[in-house]
Amino acid sequence: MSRHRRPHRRARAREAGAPGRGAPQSTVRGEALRAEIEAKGINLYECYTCRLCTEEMQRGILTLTEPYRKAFGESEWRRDIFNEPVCPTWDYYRHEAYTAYGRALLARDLADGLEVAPDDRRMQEVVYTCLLCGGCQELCFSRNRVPLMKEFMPLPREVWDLHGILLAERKWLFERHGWEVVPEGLRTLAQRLLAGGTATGEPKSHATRWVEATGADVVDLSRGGTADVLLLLDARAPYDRLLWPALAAGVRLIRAAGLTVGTLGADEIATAMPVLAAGDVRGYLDLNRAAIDKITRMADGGRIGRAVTVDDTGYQAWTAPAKHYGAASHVHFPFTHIVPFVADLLREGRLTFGRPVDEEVVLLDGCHIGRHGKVLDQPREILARVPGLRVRETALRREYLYCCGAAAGAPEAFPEQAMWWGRKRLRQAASAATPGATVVTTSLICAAHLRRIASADAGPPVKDLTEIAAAALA
Amino acid sequence: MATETHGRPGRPKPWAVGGRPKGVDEKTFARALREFAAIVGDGNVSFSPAELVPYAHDVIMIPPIWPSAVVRPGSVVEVQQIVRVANRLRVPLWPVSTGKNIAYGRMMAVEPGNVVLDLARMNRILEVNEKLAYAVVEPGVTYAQLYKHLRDQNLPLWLDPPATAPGAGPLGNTVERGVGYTPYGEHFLFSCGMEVVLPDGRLLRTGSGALPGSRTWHIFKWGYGPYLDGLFTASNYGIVIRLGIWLMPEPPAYQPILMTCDREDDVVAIMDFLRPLKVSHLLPSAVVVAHALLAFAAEAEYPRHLTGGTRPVPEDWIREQARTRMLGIWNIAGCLYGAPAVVKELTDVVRRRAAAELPQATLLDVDAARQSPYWDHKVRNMTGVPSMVEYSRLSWRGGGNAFVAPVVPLFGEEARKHMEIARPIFWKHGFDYIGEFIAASRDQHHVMMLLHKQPDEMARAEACYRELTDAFCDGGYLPYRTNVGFMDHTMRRLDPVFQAVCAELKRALDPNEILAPGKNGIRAAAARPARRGRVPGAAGRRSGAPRRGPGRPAQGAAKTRRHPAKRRGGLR
Repeated sequence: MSRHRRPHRRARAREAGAPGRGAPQSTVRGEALRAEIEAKGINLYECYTCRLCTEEMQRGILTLTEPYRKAFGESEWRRDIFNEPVCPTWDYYRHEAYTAYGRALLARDLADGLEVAPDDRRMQEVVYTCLLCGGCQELCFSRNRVPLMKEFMPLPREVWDLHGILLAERKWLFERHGWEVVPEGLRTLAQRLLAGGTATGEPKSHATRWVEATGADVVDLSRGGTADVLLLLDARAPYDRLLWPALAAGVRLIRAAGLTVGTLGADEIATAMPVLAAGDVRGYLDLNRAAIDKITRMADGGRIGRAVTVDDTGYQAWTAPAKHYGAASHVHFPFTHIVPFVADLLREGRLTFGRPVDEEVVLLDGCHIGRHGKVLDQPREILARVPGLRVRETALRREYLYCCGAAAGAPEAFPEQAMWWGRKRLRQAASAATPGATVVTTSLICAAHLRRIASADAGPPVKDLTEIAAAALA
Repeated sequence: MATETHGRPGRPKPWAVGGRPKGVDEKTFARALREFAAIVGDGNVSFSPAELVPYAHDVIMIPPIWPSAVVRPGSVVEVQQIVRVANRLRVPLWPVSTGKNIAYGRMMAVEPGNVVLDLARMNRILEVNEKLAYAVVEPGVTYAQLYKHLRDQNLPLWLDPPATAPGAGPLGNTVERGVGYTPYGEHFLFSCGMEVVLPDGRLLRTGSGALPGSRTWHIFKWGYGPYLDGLFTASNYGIVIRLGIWLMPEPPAYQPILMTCDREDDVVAIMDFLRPLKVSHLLPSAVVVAHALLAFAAEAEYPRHLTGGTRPVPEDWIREQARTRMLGIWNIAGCLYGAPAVVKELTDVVRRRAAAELPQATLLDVDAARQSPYWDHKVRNMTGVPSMVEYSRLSWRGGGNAFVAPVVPLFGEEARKHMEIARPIFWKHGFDYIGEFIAASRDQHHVMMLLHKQPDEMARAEACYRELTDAFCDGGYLPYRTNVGFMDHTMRRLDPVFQAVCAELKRALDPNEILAPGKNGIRAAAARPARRGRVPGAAGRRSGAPRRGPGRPAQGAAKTRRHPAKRRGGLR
């Protein structure tokens, strides 16, 4: 058996001295992947191969945890059955490899020395069509084991962490094979973000155009000044017209609470989740730590009171634990996402809704803010306070939501699949409400993605939750 | 077969993935893949290592067995076409349905290099007849899917799921002669009528289905002439692509009977108590008598600090764990069904007999007991509701399991004797006895779980499994199933005439041996005495040549060589 050789590439790397990031490292062996995963406290052999990660085959067999009770109640728990996929890639491909357990087994095999060709398109699809949405993590029976057994052992069991394995797998593949292993669309997006660009390709100098277009009352902190709240817009929202109404709505809500709002203008940060999705963990963490350091200086210098992000992947980047390559331990200033922030303002009485909104909405939880960020109660609290609003929910809700395909570079790398997932999510929304009901998301990335699809398909209106909330301001 | 290691004990070597089937040259294999793709579409033919991964693994103690490719047909016609291509080009196929034969091999073939024929796309529920209480299913239908269908249609019919439902499939489980826990637990007994794709591509309808236009295909088992259905269970004579299964009408009432006993040797009295109830069918469900360790292994953490991974778990620890979980040393679960008055009367009969013959047993209150995951799981099993609890036992020691499943006469003394054979072997190899007796009408399946830590304990588990198999066979206790790593070994323990007839049937139906070679140890070549030279029908292979065991790399296969079909721009 001969190892696949790329002598010219190694020679180039040698010539360059220390290999640059993104250059393949043939010295990176499977043991490194095993070590990375085991360092997170994960045992690669804890998969039951039960495939519950693919389909919520029977509600009643899931552990009767508090999230389950909140999502579905308890009365029919033992006999109810759902049998609806929660894993979008399984749903699309219906192939055993396109599952969380398939990818986890692949990680095990890579750690044991399996070699893959970096340009193997099927391998790229297996690995990178995973949306990192976390649905598998919620359903995993090895993590949650037996119904009712929470009395005997703390759940979930962290010794089996699918999300951690999937991220480590991408990190290893990137370190082993470089950018060649990353599917083209995701590669382009990630490299652009690493180079200081934006998610849409618009120049950063356009970061304030949304302010001019919407008349939002914000301070451009890149030119000096102070603000109670630094609104972090990240790499997509200020450059995507579809999201400007949501940005303006967010500002209105915060201003209505008597707080001043500042943004970074052309110095806007990028938390760059696609870079993580590509596997360049070092680049991702470097970017985020630099951004956090910048905000820390502003906070320490008294220029801002707190930072609030509108970007759900940005929220995840700065709140996720280290084993999921989050920068949570680096953040030492008050930081939250706009949805829980608005919920807090309402609870504290600093914000009230006085205007009725005569609308029917279907709430779609987002993966990064909801499932990973655990911001699930707050959207419901906010919507419950909007007078006149009729709120519906899809059958797949809360932690058990179905990812719409907006993140992890999916629309860029796998546009056909991303459209398919988005359409399915919109169909789920449609089946939960009367025709024409507004789809409301808690994630700007989801809002942009679903808005584009709905617009192309003459589908329902799609709004961000902040838009609904702002409409209720007196 | 030895587990190959690479530095660390039990860790398999890096292997050659995607190697060709044995005896098939590169050109022929590339042609086969092209023809498969022309039948099912490019997207349903896989040979990238990343797409083969799930088909190479199970939780058992043998290293991965890699297929060369996976083909996923969506219809009977496609299966027939694929089989004809495979026959013409001598490419071995390994059919799988839902792929949930967990701890028996899942989707692994006996030999590396087979092309897995994944039938999961064929997942239609073809018919459900409420009045005659049967369903007709394709291979990809799962218990969960059928259960949902019955609930959605509000049909008063019960499934009989096996312990590892809901992702398992009724067709696959029945064809492997799996069992459940309701009165319909003997799955093959309660199946009726098959449609089978033979190795030459012909379509066979068994039983009453042999009459064209039959109106009794799935309601009268025997048909006319020889009963052929059994040939296609636990064998490699054909691909079952349609199966009728009888469903239990939802009973007006049911009463679980849950009891515990607190001494090891109570098992003698328990099985003798159950025997007349089972032979007379008074207690119609399968009755499970589970040892405490099996009952709570799904919930507890293995006490490695007490055992060092090499000594049995202390008995006082077992008792303490059982006590906190409403469990005894032995845990008995059965169920009565019928009209309310009948169930009440039968319950009183069983309770009176238990009080007289099994006074040491504690009868549990069912509602209270169902707070325990184990008892809840057993009640679900016995009332047609799929449950997943069994899976959790995999975490007991670290991910590995192999089922050991010999059959024992339904006598208490036999149960005790069998435990005396089994337990010392488990202990000798540093494992725990984790088992249960499942009382059927005249036999008891002594199902044991060889739970082990992967990969470190795989070699030890393999040795233990081999010794258990040999000890049971030496004692006259036939294992009714075994995993892909031990199929040849088990077949060689059986009577030579039985082996020869199996091989002769194989040669008659599948002379080119393209269908699941080695499944349950059935091979065409065994029918002939070993001699040198070409064996007709076994293309490219000499008889007597050493047979490659599972886990060893395909001969001559390179790791990341670009696939020949890709080089020519074919396929993708």
